[in-house]
Amino acid sequence: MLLEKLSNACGVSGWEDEVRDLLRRELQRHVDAIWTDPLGNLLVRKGSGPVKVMLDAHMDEVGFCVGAITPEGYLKLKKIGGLDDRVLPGREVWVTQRRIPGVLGVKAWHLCSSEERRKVIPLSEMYVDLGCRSRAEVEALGIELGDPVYFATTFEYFSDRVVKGKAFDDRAGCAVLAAVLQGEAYPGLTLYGAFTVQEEVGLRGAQAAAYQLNPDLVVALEGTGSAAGPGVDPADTITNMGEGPAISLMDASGIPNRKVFELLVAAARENGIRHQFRRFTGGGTDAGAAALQRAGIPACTVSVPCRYIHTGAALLHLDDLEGAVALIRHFLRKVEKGEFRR
Amino acid sequence: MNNTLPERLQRLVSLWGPAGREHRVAGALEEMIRSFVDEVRTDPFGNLIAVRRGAPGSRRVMLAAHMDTAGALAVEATPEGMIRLAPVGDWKAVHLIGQRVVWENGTVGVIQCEPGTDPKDLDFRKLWCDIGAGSRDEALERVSLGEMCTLAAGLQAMGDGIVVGAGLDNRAGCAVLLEVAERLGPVPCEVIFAFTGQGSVGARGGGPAAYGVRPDAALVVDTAPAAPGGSKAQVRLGQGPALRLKDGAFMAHFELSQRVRQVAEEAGLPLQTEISPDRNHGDARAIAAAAGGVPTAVLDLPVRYLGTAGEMAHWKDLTALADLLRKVLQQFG
Repeated sequence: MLLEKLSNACGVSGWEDEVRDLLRRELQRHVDAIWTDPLGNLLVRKGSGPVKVMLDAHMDEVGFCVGAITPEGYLKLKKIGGLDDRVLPGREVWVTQRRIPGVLGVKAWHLCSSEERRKVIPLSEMYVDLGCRSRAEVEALGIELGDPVYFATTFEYFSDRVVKGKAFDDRAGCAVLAAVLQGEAYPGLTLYGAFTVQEEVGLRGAQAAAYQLNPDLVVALEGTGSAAGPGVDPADTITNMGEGPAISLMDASGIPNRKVFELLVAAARENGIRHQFRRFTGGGTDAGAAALQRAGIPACTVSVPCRYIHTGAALLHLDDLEGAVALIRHFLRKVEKGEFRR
Repeated sequence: MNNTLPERLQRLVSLWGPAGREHRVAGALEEMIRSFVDEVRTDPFGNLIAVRRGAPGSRRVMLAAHMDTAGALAVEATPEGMIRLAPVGDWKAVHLIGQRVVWENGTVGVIQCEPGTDPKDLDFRKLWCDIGAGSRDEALERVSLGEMCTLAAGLQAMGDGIVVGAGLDNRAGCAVLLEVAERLGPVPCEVIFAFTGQGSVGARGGGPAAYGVRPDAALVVDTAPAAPGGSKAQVRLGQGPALRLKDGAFMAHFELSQRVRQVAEEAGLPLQTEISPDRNHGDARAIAAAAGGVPTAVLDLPVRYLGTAGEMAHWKDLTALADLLRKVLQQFG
């Protein structure tokens, strides 16, 4: 399954090459043009119809980079993207695309005061232990400042429909977009796929992609949070895993274009696709950045719910992933029939 | 003050139009400005662009005012039929308790919280909007998730020249632009009136508007918090518009600001100055960075109690700002 390969691929913001190469291999037989832009976005075109649609999914994932190498042979890390310190200690990591194994160490329990044992340990007090005993040993591994560091998580099935992996934000979106591009053609559309860079550090690649492709509308495909858990108020879950793709109501980066939003909802309702709304207005997506390009581009976001997003191990339900693919296909048919009017 | 300004402002504040849902306001503004300009269009973002053409080759000045207001979004409905809300723009939960709101389809609601909630703990997760529904299904028949509401509080006169109501931010700015459009007279430049979308949620519509217009300079009309009312307030009602020197994401264009100051001084028009700590204070930063860069200055109307049902502005500030903008445009050869 492509999601498995995408999740296992490594690419923090600025280091998207491995993901880009994988997507290029998987897609080149299915599209009419495929190229990489100067910023690193992988752009594809399928068809050359009159209505231009850009589907967006970002290739980068959250992770770390090497911020310092200590004389004792440990690595200090800096965050790339939003990460929760509470869930980092003790995680296994991979350093560089060569996946050099390490573990996120913290001060030993017996050395901590009772107060220290109760507080959240900030990343600045953690370190990566590679089993090295000097800076020279680290350097002998070819590790340099700025090198990327990843959660050492391998994709697996928890059941036949629920999967676990890293980087579902946004390899889930990449998988949805790839499935759409590998499927049927839409002669009425010029369908662009934009696999973008550097979303997690400021919605950057999408700005360049939307500017140069200059589409009539944009739909960003995302992995989003699903906060359901023991004791959580149902109003606070953002989305619920297994209840279908989530259409955004609003987030910190943008208010969905009403026409695109309504057409997505109609595509779901008319075709009996189980769907939900993203009931949280924080966070940002590439749709918000794309909407502001040129004189404005109508945009909305469709997301796959992911539990434990932005951590080392997220869960998603394949019904939601497949539902997102079905929703986008029906949406594109409606756009092709001329149902999107600015 | 002529009497069209109060009439226009009254009409503009009565229009429902939170961020991203400006269509009714845009429609009304189009009708109100049409006879004063040569061309009106809506851009792909939803900004309303009205052009008063100049001589071929003349410089192009964009006057921009955001036309949306803050509001709240329906994100969930409880089993009891209460709508759960998220803010759209700079609404504070504490200002909303007991207020009436109106939804897009005219449904009226009241915002409330559990009696006895400590104001310190009050946030949007503690609020609900009661639309008189008895169940979740009944509530969602009237208000769908994703719909927005705005404060329902009309305009009233108060004291000596003060006007109070919800939505003065920034319908007062829109009214000022209409006033300029009507009474401009011959000017040496092309003037583009841009009524922008989503200014209540940050620098959104202004960038696309400037990209489409490609102006040589931009003057943004917005609002600034007036004293009394918190440490942010640096300006006072009735003392004239405020030239924004800087906000958290924008520096006023030096030469353009100097020009505005000089015009105000020569014409004997009152002008205050202000530095806003707000990183998300409307369109200015997006316009300044659009289309290769646009020299941009901001003139704010002092408004007390921004983001509440009791926003207060002074007519003198509105008319002084309209006069100042006309004078600046007259000298923009």
